[in-house]
Amino acid sequence: MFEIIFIGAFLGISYFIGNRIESNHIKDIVIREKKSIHLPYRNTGLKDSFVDHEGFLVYGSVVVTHDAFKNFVMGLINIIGGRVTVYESLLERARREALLRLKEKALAQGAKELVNFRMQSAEIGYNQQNSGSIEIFCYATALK
Amino acid sequence: MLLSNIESIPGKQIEVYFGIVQGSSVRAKHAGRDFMAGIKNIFGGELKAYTELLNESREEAVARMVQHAQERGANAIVNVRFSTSSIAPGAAEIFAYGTAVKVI
Repeated sequence: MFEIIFIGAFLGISYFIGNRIESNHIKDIVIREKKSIHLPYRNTGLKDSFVDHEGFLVYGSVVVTHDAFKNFVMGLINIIGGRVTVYESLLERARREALLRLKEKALAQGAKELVNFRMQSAEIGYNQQNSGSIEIFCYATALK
Repeated sequence: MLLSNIESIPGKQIEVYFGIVQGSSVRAKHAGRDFMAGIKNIFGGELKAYTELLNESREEAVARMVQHAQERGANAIVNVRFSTSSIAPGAAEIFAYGTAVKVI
């Protein structure tokens, strides 16, 4: 009985704090996205030769992890199958963050456009049992 | 050294191609950071220590690639690609490669 209460409390705290971190982060992302919305980016331009521009390589990355509550929900969804919305929201947030970091870096160096934008993800585990962390990495060529 | 992930360097003309250059780096954080990451895993969110770790190793991989290109007499690298793989718990390999060129 005590264990159930303990696990319940643990998941409750994890849900509460995890949710707070998530909503604060989304608020922050929305504000920063407005600041960098004027920088266009596209994933074409590989073969173009931008003769009247200056260019440089930029990249941005973020490593995110799930919380204990998301992990628990994942376990339940794994039994019945279906969309794992808790993870979708985490990854969407991470992608937006990585893109923002790239854009902010590019803007700081005076970029006017980003071409050949690429995004990739890699799983980063920190021990054998738990490997829920993922790195989102994006890179592009910035044109001045 | 000029870098781009497109097939040219904007505003420059490619004169000579030197072939593929590459650089890689494998890094791990000390156990304290791993322990903190474990705690962070309860609440979720960004693992700053790991973001930092991977950025450091990416810079190192790029630096090695650049060094490789300089040895060949290149002054730019075009079509740079990155790949990441988790090879061991708490460690990741970052690999960067591109074509070394001389631009004018």
